[in-house]
Amino acid sequence: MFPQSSQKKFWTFSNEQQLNSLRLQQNVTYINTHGSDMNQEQRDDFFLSSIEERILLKQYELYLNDFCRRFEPPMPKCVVGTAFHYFKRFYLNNTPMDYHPKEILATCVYLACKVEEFNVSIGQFVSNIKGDRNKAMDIILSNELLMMQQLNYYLTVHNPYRPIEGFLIDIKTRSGMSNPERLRPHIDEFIEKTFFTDACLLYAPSQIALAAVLHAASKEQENLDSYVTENLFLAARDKLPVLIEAVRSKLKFGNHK
Amino acid sequence: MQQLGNKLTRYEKIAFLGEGQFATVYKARDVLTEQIVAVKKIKIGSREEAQDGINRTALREIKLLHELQHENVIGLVDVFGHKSNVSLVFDFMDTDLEIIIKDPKIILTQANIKAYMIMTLRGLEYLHMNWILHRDLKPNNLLVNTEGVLKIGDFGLAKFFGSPNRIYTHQVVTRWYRAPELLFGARQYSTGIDIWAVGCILAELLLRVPFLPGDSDLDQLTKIFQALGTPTEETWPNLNKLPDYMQFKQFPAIPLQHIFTAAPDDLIVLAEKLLALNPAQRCTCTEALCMKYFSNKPAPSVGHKLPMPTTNTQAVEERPSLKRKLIDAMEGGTLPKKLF
Repeated sequence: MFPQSSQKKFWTFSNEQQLNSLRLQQNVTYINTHGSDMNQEQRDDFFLSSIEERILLKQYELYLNDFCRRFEPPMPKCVVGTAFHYFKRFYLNNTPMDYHPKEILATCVYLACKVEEFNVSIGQFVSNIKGDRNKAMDIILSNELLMMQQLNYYLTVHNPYRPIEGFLIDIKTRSGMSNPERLRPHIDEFIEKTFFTDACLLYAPSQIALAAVLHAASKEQENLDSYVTENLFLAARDKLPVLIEAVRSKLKFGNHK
Repeated sequence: MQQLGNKLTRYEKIAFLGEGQFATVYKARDVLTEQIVAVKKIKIGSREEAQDGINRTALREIKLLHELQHENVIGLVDVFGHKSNVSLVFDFMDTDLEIIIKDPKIILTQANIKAYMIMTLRGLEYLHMNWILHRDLKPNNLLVNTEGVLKIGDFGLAKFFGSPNRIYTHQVVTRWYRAPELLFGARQYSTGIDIWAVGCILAELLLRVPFLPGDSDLDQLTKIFQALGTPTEETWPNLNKLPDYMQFKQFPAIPLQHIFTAAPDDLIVLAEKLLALNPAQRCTCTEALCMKYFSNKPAPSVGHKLPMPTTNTQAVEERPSLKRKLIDAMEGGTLPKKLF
């Protein structure tokens, strides 16, 4: 359960500033260690800035998504979600100047396959990689333990997929919306967009799921407001305004990225 | 790397405890906290396994136990890696229920059995509430410490459940504790498989020998039906739609009172609910804990009054004295059947 999970305790942060300061910190530490004999100009020239690191990693997140989509045999969604979590967690405390994102990407996906019980052998796994497969195998296996260490051995990831299924079942039973299944493509699209944001490091999976469902409903010109106020938050009416604001900000978050 | 070095010296080896298929276990002292722990060092394993990197069984234990904290579930205190090896640090447990059941010197009174059952069901209730199936409950995996606290251990087969679209393997649970739906090849099963195993463990606490020791999957089903009766379409609807269903000879059910002759009625009621053939009729942990058996007398034994096996590993195989038999009879306790 998420409320007692390691994800909530150790890997959910209160705001974006917190994430950015962690990222800045590891960048500065690296530069100070390796550029002690350089002046500022040389440093700017030689090292990636924190912002440049972000751009580079964003690019590799696109590769990560691509790699998972093309994976044979087809990969369950939760493996993709978990791999993204691992990738983001790893680079909160590490710099891509130390660890090549290409290698970390493959390691994240491989570990996610194992943790989510999507059983592919290392041979099967690297057959999805272009280039020298033996080398890829060596890299992944030698990075696996490092990855676990960097995750502090907290491997369970709660993805929004289960709450999404729950919401859909509930909407079918209680909202009176016709054919809620048509929400699915929009939901998937929304979730995919959140992969390229920090949403999973900031919000509970059920919050992301609800945002995805509401986003999908509005795309389909449906209104689920009364379902939300009357069914979901009947017991917590006083907290409702806060929640609505939270969900709205997430919708924006998902949209503008 | 400095942190790693610390971890390696933090746990001071005291004794070698055992070697399993995947791991070597040591008793150790945590020099920081003075706590006694068990360090399970995962083996690199055979060639083919090592090829896939870190052992999957170890991964399961790490990912699940790091999310759990309950008095009756083994605690994962720490994890650390060294070279390509992973070590898991657990609460130290002195013995397990299999050793206790098999120890001819130990008398299991009704109060003792009740205490073990409560602790097992509480731990399992917590697991099920967290959407985890243990999938390998057996006396050997119910660990007990000197304070008499029982903790569920070995999460090598455990798994999150509850996704309606997930298909699971039915090749889980040590055969003697395997529920009939698994033996009929069910791919979608639930908490009932753990409950069944608890039923078998309760029976074993009473009988002091395994209740249904089948020597093949087929023999396992035969043994189950010989004791509990062959299910029918009425008692278990859609039974014949299970993947590996086959028809069995119609055995009549033996009343459980006739099998567990020394057991009180409230215990029989519990056993019937735990060992219901149709998984839909099996009780949940919470339902079980609410049953009369647990509020009726005798009260469960308090921790330190629970028996511990004789420390001497070469326990003398002596017959119980007459006096002991008498005490046994008076308290309704049981001794291993094979001794008589």
